[in-house]
Amino acid sequence: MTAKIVKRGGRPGGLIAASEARAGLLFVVPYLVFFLFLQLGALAFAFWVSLHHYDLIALDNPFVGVENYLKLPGNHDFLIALRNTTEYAVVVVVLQTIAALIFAILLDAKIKGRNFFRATWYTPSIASSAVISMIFLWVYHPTGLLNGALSLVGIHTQEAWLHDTRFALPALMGLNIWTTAPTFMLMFLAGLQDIPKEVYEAAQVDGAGFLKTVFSITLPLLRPVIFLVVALGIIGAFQVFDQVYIMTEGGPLKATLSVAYLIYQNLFKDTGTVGIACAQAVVLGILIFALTIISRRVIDVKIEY
Amino acid sequence: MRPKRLGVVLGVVAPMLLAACGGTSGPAGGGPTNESDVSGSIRAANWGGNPTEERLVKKYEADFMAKYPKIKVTQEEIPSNFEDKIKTEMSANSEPDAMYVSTKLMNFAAPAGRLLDLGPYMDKWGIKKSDFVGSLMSPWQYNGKQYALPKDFGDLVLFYNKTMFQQAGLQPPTTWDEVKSDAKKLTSGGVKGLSLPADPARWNAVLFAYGGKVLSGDGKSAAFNDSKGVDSATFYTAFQTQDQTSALPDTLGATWPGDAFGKQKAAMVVEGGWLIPYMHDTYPSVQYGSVKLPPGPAKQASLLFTNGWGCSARTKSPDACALFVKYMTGHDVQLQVLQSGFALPSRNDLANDPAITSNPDVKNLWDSAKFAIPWTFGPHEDKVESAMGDALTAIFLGKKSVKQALDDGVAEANTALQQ
Repeated sequence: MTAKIVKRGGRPGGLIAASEARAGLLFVVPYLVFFLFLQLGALAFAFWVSLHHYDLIALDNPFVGVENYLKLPGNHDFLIALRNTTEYAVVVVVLQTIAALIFAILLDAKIKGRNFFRATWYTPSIASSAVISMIFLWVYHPTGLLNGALSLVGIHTQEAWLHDTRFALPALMGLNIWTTAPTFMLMFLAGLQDIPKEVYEAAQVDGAGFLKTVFSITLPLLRPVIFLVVALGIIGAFQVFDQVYIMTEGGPLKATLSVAYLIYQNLFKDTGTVGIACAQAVVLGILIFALTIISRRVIDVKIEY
Repeated sequence: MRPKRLGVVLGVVAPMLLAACGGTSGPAGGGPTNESDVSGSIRAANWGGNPTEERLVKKYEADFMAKYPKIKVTQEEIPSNFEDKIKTEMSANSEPDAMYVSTKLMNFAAPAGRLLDLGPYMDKWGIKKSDFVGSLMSPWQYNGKQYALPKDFGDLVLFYNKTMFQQAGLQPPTTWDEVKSDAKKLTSGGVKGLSLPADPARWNAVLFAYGGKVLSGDGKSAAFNDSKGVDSATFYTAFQTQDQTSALPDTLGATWPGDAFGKQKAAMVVEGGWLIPYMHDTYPSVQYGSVKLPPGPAKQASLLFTNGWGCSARTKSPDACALFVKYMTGHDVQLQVLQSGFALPSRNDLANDPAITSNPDVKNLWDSAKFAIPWTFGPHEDKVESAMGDALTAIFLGKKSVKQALDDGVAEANTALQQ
């Protein structure tokens, strides 16, 4: 990156460009330092650790090569966590993207009280996930808000949603969709502003209805934003941790065990499994990276007008 | 049983780890020989309990500094995830000098040579093992060395609702058969005879009473699926799955069994001393009593939960730290521990204190320590516990038979133990 900028600055007549590049470089230096040491450095260290039988406080951490990786396919917990996380990510990403899109299109229309609805719908995203998790512990409690609401429509139940293997993971999905969809709605709203009004006007002249406009104009032109939302959604969903940590601790019966939570357990709750935790983290990282690339290939294709 | 439990603690981790770090704890013979000559500055870490307990720890430390003016103690309170924090600090060589030692902390820090062997300092400063309740010492021993001293303990008894028992014309149960039949008589409508959670920290009391064990003698494999394991788990879960005389706290609209007991949704619970201040504060009008856990087919058993004070192997003031541990586990502080009512004191010399003898519930808890078994399972404790917890949950939810659930649990625990 650095080399490129300097070279460009070196072109004839690029004196100003060169000094601009230097200034630019200067501005990114603080971030670069953080990135190199705290992110890239940590990443490299995690990979190094994953090649060892490692414990945080042991005096000797022998090199074991790829043994930790070879163990993963036979690691029951890892497979469960991978399945849970994938299930979680698919449902969450699909539903939250659709929900965010629908609300963005609705709130982009000139309706009465638009700002009120935008603010209300966005509120859940302001609170931290820890706070939301604490609130939802009570929403999903047997005598909580959800069962109370259900009883209003005639369904009387004492269901302990978070203690039921069938409902615990969907309960976390619902909570996450509710919290993150509004953020993505905001991105879609911004994306919608970028679509030239002329295109819509032309479509109207041609006699296209609302749905036709949405599918033929809005969605295709929103592709870059949709990719962004899906990519961020995948990254977030595959890293799901806070809700699991606060609300279910991976239970009941590992129904909500996520890869990130399993990594945490192996890091701190067990002895001598830090190498395994790092191997799992590396695999998770590669998985997220690959899925992001794939979603880019699928969604963010060039469009011809 | 105690030697066996000790064997578990001793046998689990390669002794070579310990040998590698023996150099850190130098001979305790050097330095001052008079307590009042010891000087130094130590950081002491405790976890956050409730505000009252936090205030008490602060007070004990102030009292200590008044008694030993040359030693300065800085309190470091860790609100939550205590072991995670200490482990991280140990990996960065920045851990506190003195610290609360839970069995979890003990099980990963002692084999790694991170805790100070208190033995030489106990000799030097006159701390006698016999001063402490016997069963409280083994959790802090590894390879024959003493790495912490017990600061308090809790164990399990059976609490019952006096009013409900009177109304049903029942006497407090003295056998498990009576518990079973009483539970049937006390169950009606939304009220259950018992509330037993899917928690190995309750079931294991029954497991031990049946003569079962959690780990094999060498601690390298799980053993809770033998016939004693199956029988005890069958007995424990049948209250709910067959008799329907017990329900999980959640089902009773409670957060934990004590809550269900306070709400009078369960007539009996198996809990510890923590229930007493909880009932006093939250449900003061509920009349309750307690009995010791009845003997099982093999013996009488209860579970012992204890925490200690220990020192870092890297402390620069081992004498000061040892004196601090001595003081915090000594008579004065332990008397206040007893009077605060949060836990039971670790010292034998308080056995005849009126706070124990005049309160039948506290007396039951105190006496149960004689046959209670320390609840500690070596360096993979967390995985072993969650494997047992999952097995119980699977039985309670009707997902697996008792045998199948325990077999799966043992397989899961073994994966961790043989890592």
